[in-house]
Amino acid sequence: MNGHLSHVVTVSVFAALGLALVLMALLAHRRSSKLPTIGQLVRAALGRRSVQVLLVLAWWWVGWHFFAAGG
Amino acid sequence: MSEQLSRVTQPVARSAEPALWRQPAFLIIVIAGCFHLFRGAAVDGVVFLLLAVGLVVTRHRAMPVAAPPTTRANTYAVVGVVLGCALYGWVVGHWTPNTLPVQLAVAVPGLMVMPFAWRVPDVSRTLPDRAWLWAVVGVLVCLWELTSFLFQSDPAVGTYEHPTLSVVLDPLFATASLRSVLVGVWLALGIALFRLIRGRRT
Repeated sequence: MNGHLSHVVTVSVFAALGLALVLMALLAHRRSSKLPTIGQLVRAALGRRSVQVLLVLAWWWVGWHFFAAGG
Repeated sequence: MSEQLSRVTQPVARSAEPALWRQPAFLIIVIAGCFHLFRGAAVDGVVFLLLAVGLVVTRHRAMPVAAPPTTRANTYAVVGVVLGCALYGWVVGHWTPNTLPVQLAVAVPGLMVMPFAWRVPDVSRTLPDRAWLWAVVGVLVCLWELTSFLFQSDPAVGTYEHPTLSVVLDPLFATASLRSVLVGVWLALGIALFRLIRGRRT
């Protein structure tokens, strides 16, 4: 597989997964939806120390990785 | 008043909590920490693994129950936070990336929020139905990211042929205006997470 095609495939898969997340977020907000929203998911997951630490760490790391450490 | 008092004095229910090594969140922190060390991001790896050690060390320590629930933010407070985040983002976004001021601007909020992540009454929680759908997509993102990373010839250098998510998103951080927005959004998310951690109750 040449380099350009590989690049296109890689980016396309990322885009598809990102689109899937966006669609799920939109679907979850429908009144009849059985899919939990991200907010419901986070609230349900909180209450355990390891989960809270992971969520804060993930948020912190995203900021560090993209703004402070050069990506 | 009596309801608040009962919340403050409610004991931590730790007996039903699985062992730390059986908690997915803990395993994720450890694995991610080791991965950061492997890819050459020593600071990231050390921070992750230190926090994992902290979780182990405090595993049997009874942390104080969190303060009484916060009230819903009024409109003025929300506007204030939004404006504050926008201002923060505008200032930090216009600083030269990857310099000490920016590193401090990111590190300090994290240091302020992280201690509160330890203060939680551990109780059993049931995830909503179909929460696994989110997990599936999340895992797929991680697996594809890992695949791209492993195909790189140098773990520390992104490649055009197999770009990681960082490489794909790099153009978003190329201009000060976009960085300003993203920093502001990042800070707002941190504040929202902080409020969720502080405000949730059984």
